[in-house]
This record gives sequence, C-alpha cells and structure tokens, in this order.
Amino acid sequence: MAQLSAFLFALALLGYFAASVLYIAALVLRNRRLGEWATRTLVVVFGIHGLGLGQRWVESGHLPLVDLFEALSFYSWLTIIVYLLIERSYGYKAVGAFVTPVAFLSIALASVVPKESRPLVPVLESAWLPIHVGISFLAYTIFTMAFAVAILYLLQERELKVKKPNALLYKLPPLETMERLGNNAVGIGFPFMTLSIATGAVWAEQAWGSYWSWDPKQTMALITWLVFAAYFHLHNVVGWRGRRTAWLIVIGFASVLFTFLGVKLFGQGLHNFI
Amino acid sequence: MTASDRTSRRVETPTEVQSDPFDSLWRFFSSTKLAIVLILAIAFVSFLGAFIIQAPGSIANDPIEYGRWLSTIRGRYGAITDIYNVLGLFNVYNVFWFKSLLVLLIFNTIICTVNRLPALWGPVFSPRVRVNESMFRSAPIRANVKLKQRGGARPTKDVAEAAFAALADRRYKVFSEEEAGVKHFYADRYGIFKLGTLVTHLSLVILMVGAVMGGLMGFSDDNVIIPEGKAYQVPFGENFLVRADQFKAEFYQDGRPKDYWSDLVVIDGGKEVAKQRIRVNEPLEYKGVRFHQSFYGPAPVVEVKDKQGKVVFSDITPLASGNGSSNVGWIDLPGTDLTFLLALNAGGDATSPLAVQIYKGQVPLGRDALKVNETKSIGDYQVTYKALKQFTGLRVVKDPGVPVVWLACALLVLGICITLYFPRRRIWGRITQQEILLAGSADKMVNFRPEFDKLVEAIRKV
Repeated sequence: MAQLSAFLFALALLGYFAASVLYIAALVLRNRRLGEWATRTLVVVFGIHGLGLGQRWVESGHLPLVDLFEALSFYSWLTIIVYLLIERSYGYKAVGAFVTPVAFLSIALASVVPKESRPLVPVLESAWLPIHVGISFLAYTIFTMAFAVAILYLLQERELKVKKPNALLYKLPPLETMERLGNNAVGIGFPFMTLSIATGAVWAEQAWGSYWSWDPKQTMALITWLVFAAYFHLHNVVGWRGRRTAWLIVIGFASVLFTFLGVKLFGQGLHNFI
Repeated sequence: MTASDRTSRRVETPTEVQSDPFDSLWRFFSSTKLAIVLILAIAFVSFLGAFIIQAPGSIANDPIEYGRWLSTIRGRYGAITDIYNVLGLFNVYNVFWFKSLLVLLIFNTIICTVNRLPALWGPVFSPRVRVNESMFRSAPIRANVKLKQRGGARPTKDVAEAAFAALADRRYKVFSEEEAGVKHFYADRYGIFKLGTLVTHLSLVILMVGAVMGGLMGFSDDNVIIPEGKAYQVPFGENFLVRADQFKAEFYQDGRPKDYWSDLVVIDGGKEVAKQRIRVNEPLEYKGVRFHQSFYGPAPVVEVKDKQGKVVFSDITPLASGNGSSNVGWIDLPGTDLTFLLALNAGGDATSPLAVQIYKGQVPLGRDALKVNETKSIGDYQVTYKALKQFTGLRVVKDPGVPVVWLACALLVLGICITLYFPRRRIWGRITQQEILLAGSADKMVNFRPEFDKLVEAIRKV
C-alpha cells in the first residue's frame, strides 16, 4: 500500500507543475480561459494530494507531519487550500502565478528527501502534535500569501514607476488593493505565529520541563515574530507604506523559511524532527 | 555675533526647553523608534545565537570546564574565538548586554503604553462628536443623504433615531450631541477593541515578570541520575525523596526508542505519598517540583570482595557518561583511594561483557571483562558482575513563574487577536432638516468603501 501514497504524491508533483505553468501562462498571455483551467487543475491536484496525505496517514498510523518529507508535502497542500480560498473570495488569479510555484518547489524539494515513513519517537506522542504543528503551518502558509502579494506589489510598483506598463501589470489588481491584501495576510498570520510559539512553549514545558530553552527552532520562530512585530510598529505607528512594508514582508518571509527549514538543514537542537 | 556665540546659543536653546533630565529620559523611552530598534537588535542577536555554537548551560559557570570547551571549538572558529568569547557570543542568551536589551524593551514598552493611555482612552470613551464641516466635503469616504420633504420636514430627532438604529444594527456604537437643531454624531464599530494593544503590551510585561520569578524562585537540575531501586533527595531546601522503582524502554526495529518510562515514588516524611509512571510527555509533579523523563542508561550491579573474602562494595552503578561508543561509570571503593572504572559498549545489554579497570590515581592496577554472574579476580579483588539494571535520567524543575507565563501567553494571544481581527470603523455625521452628511474612515485592514456604501443605503431608507 505504500506505493499508493507514493503514486498519488508523484501525481501531485506533476499536477502542481502543470498548474504553475497554467497560472503563469494565464498571467503573461492575459488569457482568461487559461486562468480558469489553471484553477480547475489546481483543485483536482489539491484533491489528489489530499488523498495522498490521507493514505500516508493510514499507512503510518500517525499524523503525517513528523518528518521533513511530510512537512514539505503538507506545507504545499495547505498553501494551496489557503490560496484557493483567497482566489474564491477575491477573484485575483495573478497571485496564483506566484503561490502555485512555491507549492511546487516545496513538493519538489520533498521528492528529494528521504520518504520512508518512520514510527513516532516518544516526545511526539502528545495531543499537542496536531495542534502545535497545524497552527505553525497555518502561520507559515498565510505568511507565504503575504510574501506572494508583496512580490507582486514590488513588481507592479516598479512597472508603474518606469511608466512602461506591460502584460503583467494589465491583469493585476490595483496597487492599493495589493497593499491591503499583503497587510491583511500579515495581520491574519501573526496571531497564528504567536499561538504557534505559545503552544510550542506549553508542549516544551510538558516534555522537557522548560517553556523556553533558546533552542534554534524556538529562537528562529521568535525572530520571525519579532520581524513582524517590527512590521506592525512601522506600519501602524511610524506610517510606513508601500514599497518599504512590502520589503519588510519579504524579510519576514525569509525568516519564516529559516524557521521552517533552515534549522533542520543547518542546525541542531531539541526540535530535530522537522 | 561670533561663531562661538552661535554654537553656545544653539546648545542653550534645547536645554531651556527640556531642562528636566527626567523629561528627556521619558521622551527617549516613549519613542516607538526605540522600540523598533530594540526589537530588531534582539532579533539580530538571537539570530547570532542560533548559528554560533552555544556553550552548554551546565559549564557556563565553571571556568575550567568552560576553558576546555573553548579549546574544542577553537578548531572551528580559529582566531575569532577570542573575540566571540569576550563579547559573550558563546553564551549570548545569558550575557548581560543581551539581557539589558530585553529589560530595555520591557521598560520601553511600559513607558510607551503609559504615554499612549490618554490617546487610547479618549476616542473610546469620550470621542469627539463634532467635527469640522470641511470633513464632510473632503474625506475620501463620504456621503450626502438628502432628506425628502414629503408632507413637511420630519423632526431631526426622529431621523436621527432611525439613523442611529440603522448604525446599531451594524454593531456601531453611537455618540451624539445636539446644537441649534443640528444633530452631530460619531459612531464606531469595534472601537473598544483599540484597547487590545494595552492587553498585548501588558502581557509582555507579565511575561517578563513570570520569567524573572522562575529565575529567582525556581531551580532546575538537568542531570539527575537515579539507578533503579535508589532514591534521590530533592535539593534546594525541599525535604522529600524520589525513588525510581523501575525503568523500562522499548525500541523500534531501527533502534530508535519507541517508549520509555520510570516508575517514581515520592517519599515525604518517611511515607510514600505519590506514585506515578513518568514518560517524556507525562511528568510527575509534587509540591511544585516536576520530574521529567529525560534520558536513561545501563546500571550494572557489581560486588567487590577483598582478599579476606569480605564484601567491601555491592551496589548499582549508573554508567552515565561516555564518548558515544561506550557508557562509563565509576566506583570509589570505600576506605581506599582506588577507583573502579566500569564500561559497557553503547547499546550493550545483559549479554554483553562489562569491562572493569582498577586505578590508583592515574595508575592502572588491573583490568578484565565479565559476563553477568561471572566472578573474576582483578588486582587484589574478587569482582562479581551480578546483574544489569538501568538508571533513569531526569530533569528536575521548580518554576513558580510558569502559571504567570501562561497567563501572559493567553493575554498576548487575546490582545493580538482583538487588535488584528477587529479593525475599527468610524463614522461622523451631521443631521439637519435637509440632509445627513456622513464621513467615514477605517483601519487600513478594512476595505471600507463597500461597507460604507451599504450603510449609507440603509440610512437613505430611514
């Protein structure tokens, strides 16, 4: 049965690639129908990927969120559902041309890390596992949306500045809307980031007897939190707007990536499962 | 006027304005810019700490051990080791200047918050109801509702009542004043949630209080080793014992631990008062002291007889140190200056041989390897390897600050949620016999125009 989840996963990998190509083509060629096909493809692939995750859950007997492969896979899946919800409520497909490739890159990275499912180590045997991990990934995902919007904003703003509107600009929502979308994404994501750190602290207190031990993963999460805390002060109090806040979001997302993957790839610590 | 006159003037002027040093200090600490600088500085230093190897907490206060540790990492950092060391970057989260940054940030938070209190309070409880008329001509979001004069003008009071009801339907809170037949009003939605920022910032202060309480009133020992059947006297003035009756571990086929637990018994005043099986996620708590399952290892039971056949030692010895390839423990033989060194290969079980070496200072006097139930003579002694048991490794913690920290976390999440998820909408209005003038604004998060237009539609119907 392990082949089934691997097969579904391979389908999802191909599907995200196809959806990325469609979204980018729809944006560059300004083609509405391509955009519609992009969404349809993405919905189908999302379903297949979801089945794959479910199948892996059945195969391993635990929540498929405990190693790097599963983390990357779940991250891309969650990114897609959050994006699809946003697309549904706002109707801007341009963001998809940036979000879908991020999901594809994540699942492509997953395809090169060890895939075999391993049983749970004792520390992960806790009710906090789904809560803490689910909240953390929601935070990562929502910040990914903010990042995609910020990048779009920066591109669009540059094009406006050089007064050479081209294909990309044509389909994008107005700058003001993009700015609000980015700011809202950060605003929605920040409480989740806070909860992620807080639930992690509660779990660490229970498992290791210390709510805070400056473990690299904890520290990176705190840094991400601080960067976005600085963002709110600069945006709401000092009054930064536009390009500067977009860059802050990009920096914040770099910190998110470090929190998510950097610690696993470069560091060591208590939190050495993902 | 000479140049020096000008400079002295320039120096004098600001001192005249803010002659009070307390005043200028207050101004310094009440700046948001300082908060941002501190936040980013703390983030940066934390980042350094995550990527520069940190000295283990247990050796930070032991100069000899610390020096030894420093020489092991010199190979990696080279000449820069000394610079890092002087700056405290190997123990950066405990170095005084990093802690000072944290304290400064909290201080800054308190002063900023106190400073903002009146500005926060005002718009919530006594907002400005009457605004300049120009607002209704220039605000980006505004409307003008002409009142129909069917069968004579309706009294302004009735119109106002209906309009306020429409606002209240949309969960707006209305404040109004009347002057010369003109009704002025101000309405806001989620206005009171602007106080969420107070909750957020207060929670950070509480968090700090909790952390300091833990530091001052708590203790912790990461390295408590209890062999099976032995008891441990809880230190720091607590007068009770904890006995480890049994330790068990189960493994997966790939050798990783599946589950491990210790059966602990608390003995207070000579009586067994609590009993619990502890696991990684299931600590035992007694009188505010918590016992966390942390690590484990082998503990052989060894009997030593001297030449006369008298038993000089018979006990369990935890093999709690080692270099990765073997687990090592010591017996200091009572009444002598001899040390028995016991070693078992890592991953060894009851079928593996136990290596025993006898030392007098640095001088080896004999060595041999024994299987369980085997007796051999090593040096002048008869050594029997009676059984292989286990020891359990615990982290023992008392931290009275923890509930305070949880309170702070809850308030932090609450404060952030109400600040970010309930953005304020505001509407100013003026009702006359002929028309209702409206102007609105909302927090940056809200796409206010569609909301405002709907509201105007509702008011138009009144």
